[in-house]
Amino acid sequence: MNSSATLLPPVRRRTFTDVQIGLAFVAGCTLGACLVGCGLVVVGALLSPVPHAWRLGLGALLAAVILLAEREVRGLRLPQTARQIPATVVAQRRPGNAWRFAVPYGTGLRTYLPSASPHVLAVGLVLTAPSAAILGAAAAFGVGRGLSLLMRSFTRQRDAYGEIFQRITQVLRPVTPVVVLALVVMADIRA
Amino acid sequence: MPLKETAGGASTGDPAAAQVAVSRLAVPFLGASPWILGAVVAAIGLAAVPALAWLGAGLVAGLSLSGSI
Repeated sequence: MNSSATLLPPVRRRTFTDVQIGLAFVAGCTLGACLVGCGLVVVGALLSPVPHAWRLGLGALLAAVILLAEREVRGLRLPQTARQIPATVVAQRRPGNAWRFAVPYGTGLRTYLPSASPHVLAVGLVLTAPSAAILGAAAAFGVGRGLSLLMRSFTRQRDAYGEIFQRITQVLRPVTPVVVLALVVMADIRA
Repeated sequence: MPLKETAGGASTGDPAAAQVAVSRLAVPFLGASPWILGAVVAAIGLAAVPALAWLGAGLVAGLSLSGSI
């Protein structure tokens, strides 16, 4: 499996290269997410003539379908690309390779998606958010997606950090779609 | 007012100096009462809630995928 974590060696190097890799990764993820955000802005603009109440109803329906699909109820499955980024990109531990890995990784369109959170977020953004909020949320998505590797670049005990991080994400991941949905509802109510 | 006396004059013990110090602090707010200042801060905070919620939703969604392949 071509985990992004393999972009960093298991032990921290004395040079600044590891942090550069982490920063390049976050920047690449943010760029990739913002590119998708631009697409969502266009889709949101096309849907903007639809009355707000209709968009809310459609959003609620789609969110329910997404949450059911995450649990594979009635054979529903989340749309995702069941593909990995090529191992050749990950093999060389350089900032340039981290960047090349991160841009498609940040889009969320070219890799596996182990959570329904991005689906819920995309539906909420397209149906209810203004353009600036779409771009802001997309940038935050990219930062969030790349943050773990940046944090890992600062740690000394990377294997231990990876194990703890995986343990926490395994516990929290099932809850995140609901959290994202709650935040989307909060944003729409307060807007 | 005890607050004015302790704000600037605590070190010197001079109430006049304390009064000057407090007036300098109060200039940006033009003597607005704490309630008005509180209301302004609360309004700004409430106005920022949607933006913060969108940013939070994006960050949580990104973190939920971080570390995956």
